[in-house]
Amino acid sequence: MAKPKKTTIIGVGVLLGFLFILPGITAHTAVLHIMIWIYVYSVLCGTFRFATMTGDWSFAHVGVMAVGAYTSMLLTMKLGWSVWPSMVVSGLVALVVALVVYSLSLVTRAVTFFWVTWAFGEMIRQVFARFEVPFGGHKGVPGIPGPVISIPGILEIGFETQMSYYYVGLLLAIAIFVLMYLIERSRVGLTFKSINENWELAESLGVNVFGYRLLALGIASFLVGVNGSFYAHWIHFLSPADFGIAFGLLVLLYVVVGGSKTIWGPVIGVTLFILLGRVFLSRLEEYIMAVYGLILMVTLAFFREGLESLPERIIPWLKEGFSRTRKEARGGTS
Amino acid sequence: MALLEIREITKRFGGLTALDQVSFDIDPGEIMGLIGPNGSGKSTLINVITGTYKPTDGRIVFKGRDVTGLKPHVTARAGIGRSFQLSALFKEFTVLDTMRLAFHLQSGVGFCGAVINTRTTAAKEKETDRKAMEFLEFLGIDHARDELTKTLPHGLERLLGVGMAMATGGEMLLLDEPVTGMNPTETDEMMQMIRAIRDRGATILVVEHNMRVIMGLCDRIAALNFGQKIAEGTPDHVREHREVIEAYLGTEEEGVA
Amino acid sequence: MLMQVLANGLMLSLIYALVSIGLTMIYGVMHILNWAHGEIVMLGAMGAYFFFAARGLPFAASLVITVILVGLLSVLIERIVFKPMRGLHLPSFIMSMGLVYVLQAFATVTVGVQDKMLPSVLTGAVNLFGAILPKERVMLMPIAAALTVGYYLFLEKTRYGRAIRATSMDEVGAALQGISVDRCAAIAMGTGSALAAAAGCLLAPIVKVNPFMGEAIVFKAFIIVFVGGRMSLVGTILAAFLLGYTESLVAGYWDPVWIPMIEMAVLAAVLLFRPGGLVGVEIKKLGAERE
Repeated sequence: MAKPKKTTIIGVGVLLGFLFILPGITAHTAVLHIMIWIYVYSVLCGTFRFATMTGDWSFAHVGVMAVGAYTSMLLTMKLGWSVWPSMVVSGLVALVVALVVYSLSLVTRAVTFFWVTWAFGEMIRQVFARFEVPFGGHKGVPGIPGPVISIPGILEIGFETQMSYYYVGLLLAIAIFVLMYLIERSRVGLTFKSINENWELAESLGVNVFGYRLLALGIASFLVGVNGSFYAHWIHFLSPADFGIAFGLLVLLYVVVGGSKTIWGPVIGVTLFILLGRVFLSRLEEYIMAVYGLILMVTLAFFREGLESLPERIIPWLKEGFSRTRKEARGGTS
Repeated sequence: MALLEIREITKRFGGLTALDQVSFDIDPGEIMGLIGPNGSGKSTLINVITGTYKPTDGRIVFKGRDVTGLKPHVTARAGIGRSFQLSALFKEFTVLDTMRLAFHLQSGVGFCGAVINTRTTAAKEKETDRKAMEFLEFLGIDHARDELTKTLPHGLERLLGVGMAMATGGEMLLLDEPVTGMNPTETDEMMQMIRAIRDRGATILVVEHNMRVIMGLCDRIAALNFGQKIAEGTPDHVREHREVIEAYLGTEEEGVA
Repeated sequence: MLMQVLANGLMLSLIYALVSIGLTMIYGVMHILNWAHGEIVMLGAMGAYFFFAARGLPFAASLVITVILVGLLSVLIERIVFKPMRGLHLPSFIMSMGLVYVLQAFATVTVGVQDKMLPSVLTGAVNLFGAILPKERVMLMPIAAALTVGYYLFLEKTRYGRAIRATSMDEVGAALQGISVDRCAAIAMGTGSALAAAAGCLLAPIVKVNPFMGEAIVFKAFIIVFVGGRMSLVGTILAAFLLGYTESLVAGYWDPVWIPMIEMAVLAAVLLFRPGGLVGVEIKKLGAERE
């Protein structure tokens, strides 16, 4: 696939640089907290979008993240594990659950797949909500421990303030996005997209469609499971309500408005809405959701491909404007 | 020894019998034609061979191996490629990307290898790219390699479709109405391409309505009507065959079909 | 106990049926899964509150006025919001998501988030073979049943009804016969939403009325539509009864908290093994095992 443009690399580099030094500019807890939300949601939506490369829009994705979160909670609180290995294992457990769910669901496609995964995602959540032992039920589970980095004599990093969480969240998000990017750019990514374009044709070329769809969802599920684990240890509280339908719909909202064709779309959507909701409109609570709704509807009406497609649309239009003004300046028609 | 053996294939969809004990063999290096009026079961037979449909009864034997009912991606890997009757493209892919994907089967890169992008993978992918480019040149569409396939004119589209089927490394190629919608010039080009593909070592089964193409290309022809094989043999033999003529034109009592 | 359960089941089923058939029709004609359907019910309830509780109009009049207003509003919504999305499953669904937010905000701002209680329409209860049924709840049953049956007759017997059904089966064919798709869409949306609004009015005296009440309702309606077969009216009604009775049985003899889990499992099972729904057309196309 195409190598990234120089401008993109520079742009991303600058952005990352900024993000890294942000806590140096302002260690304000609220700011860091919002940024971490953006990282967590970016991974949630980014992994969701990753799986859509094969054309599968899975509504169980939030449920899979819940599996990661709850597993990590159990490992650290009931078995006394350290957070770091727990994150990895939680990802694996999320992967296993996802493989079971998706192996069943992948006989369906498109709309039906969407709704079947909705059903399974809800079932997963219901498990967490019904069984107070060991999941805490509706009341939720408070007091989930944060991570600890402690190598006596060498390295001791505390997690009392948001700053440490900020860097963990940022690094995790970067690692996950880099991985997704590499996969998307490779032959595997091309195969994923071919399934979305025309699965029968892909199959006639020897592509194991079921296998690749499962692979895409599996990768996304492992990554979001790890994300769920981080989320649990950052927020220190879990309840089934955190992973309900409302959140699944928010994921859809962010991905649709931001765009699902590129890896950046979800990030754009997440950033836009979280900044909007928590920063700009925080006083007007009743109106937040209405604004979200309007943005969604306007976007669908005018930019079906989402905001990520704006540069493609605007730049040629701008270029045309420039060349026209130049011609007019020289006098005469083209 | 026949390359592809179609043995007593029967396919029923509920109450409808689409194929009824159809049998014939295809020898290596042959161009075999499959003709019949609309609804006679030609496309169904192709789908049974590739594994898109499971036959109700009968066997498909390819290179001595029973491939009956195997999933389409498995038969493709076994060496049976197909083109589609209706336009089958990856619309948002470039021509080059399409061909690279088609060659991925040959590249020997497994799931993990591609994900991890090791050095061996990179070398194999370079090799695949080279093959893809070379094949586009062979097909005569390398000039369009960076175009999106959806912008291709109809003739090049079908050519690409045939090329994709070929790229799976297949020794057996099933072409489902390759010249439909083409003008005479494009049709001639396609016929030349099919012969060239055969010369490269492939065996071909062509489903077509265009009699000029069938008669001009094929070594042997099988004819279907209402799911049954009504004739098999050389073009001359089939052309003169009473039942074939009746199938297309109707008997004297029925009038023109 | 049994009578109570059976009676509750009947009540639930009828309300569910009323809410769901509208959704089925809307999907059938325009292929739009209207997630905002719950908000239509909510608007119906709000209308009942506004006219009956706040303005003091008789309940029957409030019902009629609300239903007409909401019906017209939904036709407007269809024309402005959904028309460009007709036939596109995911975009129209997402569009309806946005609509949910907007409608909820509208209700929040005009009426406020507090639960609204309506004065009783009828007081007292009836004792039916040992089942105690508040008169209000009993009242809604014949009305819901009448509306459901009435709608069914409308679809089967009248010209407009048949036109809608034709459009849902084959849009192009219907258009070729001179049936206006736009008009059918408007009728389907209008009548379907009117039924939902009626359900909202009937529910208003019984449940808590607030801007967010639609969420739980649309959840059930969707399950019913899928289980019943997205295009089938009879299927929807059957599924509504299946759901209504399952809920009342589970609530009566076991524990209501298990209801969501059971419903999701049923939904998953139906979608996996009979994606056309219980009554719907078998979606197993020739040879291809997927949708």
